[in-house]
Amino acid sequence: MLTIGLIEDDPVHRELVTASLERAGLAVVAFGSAHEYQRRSVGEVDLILLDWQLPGQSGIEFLRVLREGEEETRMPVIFLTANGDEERVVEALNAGADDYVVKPARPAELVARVEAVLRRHAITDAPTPNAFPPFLFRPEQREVLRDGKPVVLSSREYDLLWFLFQRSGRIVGRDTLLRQVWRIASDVNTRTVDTHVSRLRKRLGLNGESGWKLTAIYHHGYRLLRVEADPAVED
Amino acid sequence: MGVPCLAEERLAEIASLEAFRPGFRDRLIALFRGAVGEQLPRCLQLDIGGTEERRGAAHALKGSAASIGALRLAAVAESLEQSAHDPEACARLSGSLRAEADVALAELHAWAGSMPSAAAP
Repeated sequence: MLTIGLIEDDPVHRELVTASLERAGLAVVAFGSAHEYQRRSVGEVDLILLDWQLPGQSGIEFLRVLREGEEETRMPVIFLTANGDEERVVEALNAGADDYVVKPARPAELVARVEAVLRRHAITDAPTPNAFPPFLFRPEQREVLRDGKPVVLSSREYDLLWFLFQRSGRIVGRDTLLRQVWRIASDVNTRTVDTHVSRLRKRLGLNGESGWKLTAIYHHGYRLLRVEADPAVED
Repeated sequence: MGVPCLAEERLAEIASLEAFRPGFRDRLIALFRGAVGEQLPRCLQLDIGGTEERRGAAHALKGSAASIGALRLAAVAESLEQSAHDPEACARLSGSLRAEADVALAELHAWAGSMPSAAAP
């Protein structure tokens, strides 16, 4: 299910938007500030609905920082704000917003705009592929093959690898991995994530040698990217 | 004929969301009541040093009111937001703000009470 990140400090509007999107079949994760989003979630959402006026860091400041930190994968962002004057619209779009909706958002229009932006970014709810050459996943057997040969992995390693491949191209936070893969509270030491990642990287050639590169993104987490295979890469 | 207290279109949307999620309407009204309780006192403080807080509170109240369809309250809150730097203008608006908040809450409760509950028995 596609997930929308809603950054909105008005509890009434937050409740209204959440229910409207969930009725349309979208999952919603709501945050009361940009800081809360950054602390709790990286890589969990497919699109951000962003209020302009937020406590602490404003929506426009958050968007500028978000865009500066992006290298390849671009997070779709729609601004939600009570102020629809031209200057503000232009500022939001120039800062990198994909669309702009004046509050209070009309439910059907909001859903239509969200779906339109997701389509433009080619983000769909289609079944996740199992094939990431040279790797092939068999979810029912919880098995992964490399060049047709089974790779021996622990249960946790398999879950981690599957999670990362399903989100290839996106930054996935350590806290997200702890919550979604380890199913534990994210305030536990994240060294265990780093250790598992390091093992997978070596055993599966996720250093570029296999055609995939799993890199650490400072202060954020990890990102798995397709690259030109380089058999000469050393660990 | 002036602006209605509550927007019919917004009430209809809330009613349709109640059908999707029983309890939604009452939860939304409770959140709005909470927002009024939090922001109204901040809007009404008239000491000069409270301008930014007053403006922020008026903006927040405007947003919550508009979200639930309380048109007149949203309009008065917007006037207060724009006049936040002027204590005399704020003093003139404070009576209307209180009155519209009370009327909006009363009409929302009356509307909710007149609707059949979608909650399962």
